[in-house]
Amino acid sequence: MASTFSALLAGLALAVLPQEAAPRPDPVLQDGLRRVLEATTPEAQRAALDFLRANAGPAHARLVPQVFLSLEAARETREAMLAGFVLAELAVPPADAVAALVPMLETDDAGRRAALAGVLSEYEDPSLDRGSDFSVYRPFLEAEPPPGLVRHLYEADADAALLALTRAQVREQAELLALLLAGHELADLRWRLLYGFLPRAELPGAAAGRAASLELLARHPRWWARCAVAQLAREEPGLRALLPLEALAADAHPLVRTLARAALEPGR
Amino acid sequence: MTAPRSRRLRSLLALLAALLCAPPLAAQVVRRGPQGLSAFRPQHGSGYFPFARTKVPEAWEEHPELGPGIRVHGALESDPAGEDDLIEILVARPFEGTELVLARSGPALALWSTRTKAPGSAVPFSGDVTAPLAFGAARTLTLWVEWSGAAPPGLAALELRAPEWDAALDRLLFHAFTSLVVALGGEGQVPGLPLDPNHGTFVVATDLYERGYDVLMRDEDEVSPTGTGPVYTEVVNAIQNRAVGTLAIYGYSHGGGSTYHLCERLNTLAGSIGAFTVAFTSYADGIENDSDVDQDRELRRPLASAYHANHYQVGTFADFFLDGGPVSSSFPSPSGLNVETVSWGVGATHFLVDDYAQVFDFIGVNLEARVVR
Repeated sequence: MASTFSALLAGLALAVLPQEAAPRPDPVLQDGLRRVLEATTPEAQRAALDFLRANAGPAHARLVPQVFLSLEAARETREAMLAGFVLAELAVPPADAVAALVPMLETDDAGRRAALAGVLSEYEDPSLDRGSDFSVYRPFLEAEPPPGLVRHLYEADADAALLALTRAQVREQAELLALLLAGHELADLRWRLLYGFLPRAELPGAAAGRAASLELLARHPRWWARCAVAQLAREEPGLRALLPLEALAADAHPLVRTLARAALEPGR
Repeated sequence: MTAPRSRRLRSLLALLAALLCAPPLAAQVVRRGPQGLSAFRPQHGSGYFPFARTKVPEAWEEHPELGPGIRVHGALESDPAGEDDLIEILVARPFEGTELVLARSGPALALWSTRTKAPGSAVPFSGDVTAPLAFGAARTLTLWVEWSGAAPPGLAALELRAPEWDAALDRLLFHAFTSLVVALGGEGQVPGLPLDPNHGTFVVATDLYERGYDVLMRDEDEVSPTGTGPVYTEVVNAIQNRAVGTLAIYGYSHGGGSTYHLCERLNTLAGSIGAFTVAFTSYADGIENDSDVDQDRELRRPLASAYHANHYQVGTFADFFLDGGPVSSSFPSPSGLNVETVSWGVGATHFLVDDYAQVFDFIGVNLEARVVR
């Protein structure tokens, strides 16, 4: 019952947040940003930055979405580099930037989500060898994880996403260990593929050897764990036959359904 | 005199003139034809964008480097951008009433009458010569040339002949690409047409494309901070399926940062990709590109680059204090050039440094010296 209720809440969040989380241009702050852009002296630039600082709102919550909108609307390099300059000059803390941007991830607009990902990666320390560090999202992940953020994390670095969610959400030792092991086996599969230790043609066989972990994740009561399997199927169409995608496509949670249906799309 | 008879007479006179001016037929020397054959630069996706449809100049049609280039079409190729390896050629009929055929130098070249290789559109060869070309009522015929993946990359020719007169009218010499140039613009710069003269990276890329290179001109956002993305997919496909073994990668501002990330991924995963070298890299005021708001100077030399060019300036309030900087073991030696220290670069800003002709020339000349087509 509780999980049904939380799934309903999550569904509601997906349905409602796109409207609520879409910021509108704030004329006052957009004007301030334009003044920084067009400043012809260091003094004018400093004055424009001071104006933005004074109107940034608590924890920069008013400013950060406006900086993002200016970046999204940029049509040339100077306009596009303004956002980073303002965030750096005003020393906006990563926690403030993330807190203002994460709600916007609930949008259905894939272009906007990509643009948000292009900014959020600043705070994720992405690394080919180490994977991403999603610790900046910990406050979001310790509560009911926002579906938009979970989708973003899986798309940015699926292995780091499952690990971050597991660490933030799971307290019971047996469940923790089971999820850590399953996550490790998925990560190992990806790593072997990446470095050529596992030819793609042999992937189904290798995945079959990890069937218990895939099964555990696919049928896990936590929706974000089921997302891990749907995301793997999106990345590797060759695994579709091995994974319970039809069941995931009818999942109680809208994000699981969305990811699984994307994996089932023809041509993937 | 009726019009058709007049046309026939003009055709006959033209053919006579051609024969009188031609070297001995037995020598089969190709006389420069009146645009008998024209070739175009490579396609991208379903057309030519972000480049314009570009005809190879007549004077370069038989040049082994500047002439028409063609991608090897690998048997296992995934063609991430769709079927775009075929080269468009235009066959013009210089004389009416004369049968024309195409002769190829060997089986490396295949011909199609459709750009998508639609079933039934292969143009068959018999003894490396086609049947008479079917112009119908048209004066020109568009065909598509493919380099079979079974043939090792090299040179191959296609010749327009008039068998009735044993005359070779025109010839195209194709070079199969063994390299790929990747050009990555700065934040907010999207490759497009018409070419923006303030997008220096793309100006250089277009010049290289016109000079016979295979060039991937892309938005730097197509390279993620870990090097993944459409550009990496294209590069790996080229190495694994199109006989490409040499890479040149360069970029401006965040495109410099993306150059580093792409090289890092290629170097890290080299063992699973295949054989290749990064013969040339370049930054123009490189900025790290961990995100669209990254402001840090890109001072890391691209991994495994055999030659790295570096141009930078020193930022001020006017360019949001953005600047690249010295990169060890770069050219001009020892760590690249602060363009503000030379006369032509005085007063440079981050937003200008990619647009200097001297920077274009340095990239173009040094790339051409190190990267075979």
